[in-house]
Amino acid sequence: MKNTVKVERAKRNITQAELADALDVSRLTIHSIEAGKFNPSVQLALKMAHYFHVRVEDLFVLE
Amino acid sequence: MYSIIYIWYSFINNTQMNKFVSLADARYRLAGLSLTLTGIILFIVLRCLDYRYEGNWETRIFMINHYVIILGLVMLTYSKERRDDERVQRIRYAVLKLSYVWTLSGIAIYMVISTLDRVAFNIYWIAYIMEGMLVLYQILFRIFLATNPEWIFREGIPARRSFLVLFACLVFLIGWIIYVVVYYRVMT
Repeated sequence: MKNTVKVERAKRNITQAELADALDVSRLTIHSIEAGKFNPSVQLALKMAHYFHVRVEDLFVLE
Repeated sequence: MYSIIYIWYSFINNTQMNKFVSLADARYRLAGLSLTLTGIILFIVLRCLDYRYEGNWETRIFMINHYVIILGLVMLTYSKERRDDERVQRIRYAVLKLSYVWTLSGIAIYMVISTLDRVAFNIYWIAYIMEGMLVLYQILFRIFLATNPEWIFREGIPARRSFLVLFACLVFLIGWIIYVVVYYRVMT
């Protein structure tokens, strides 16, 4: 699964730590998601999409 | 026993422990660490002083010392991280399985290459095995939390396979003990 978390984060000019604080996860979790190592749960994916004001399917795309 | 229920629960529910929230609060980590360090320091001091004890007091004192270390390690193991998110839970689940499999495999291999009559089944061995497993868990957990290895997050077959390995190890160990005990009862 690919994701555009890094792109969305860059658009809003926020750091991994800031995003992690907003979503109540650790910075390494954000790093793992961006690196494609870790697929988040539906709950976390929805929270991310809500945070970036985008649809989940725009943020996470099946390869 | 608690850990086996922990792994079993997450396996049958296929949740990877995401919904299993019965871990202690993060502040118990500090208490656990303090207890463990106190126990280890006491152990070293008692060994260095090399007292002569009356009766069975040496065993009792050292066992209390081991109980303190084990209690501390259990508190460390079963308390949440400061940010206990789903990545941490996934790593915890994988490391619990790994440390169980390695410990049980180690015991099983040791029992196969030796025989039961040569294995010293005293209470210290049980304490050492418990401590070893909990320390192994802590070391692996901290390393994987920092390094974030990709294989832990792979879903599907590996999780099922490692559970089967754990189950096979347990069955083998129980079977081996029953076989040897029955064999020695019948032959002697």
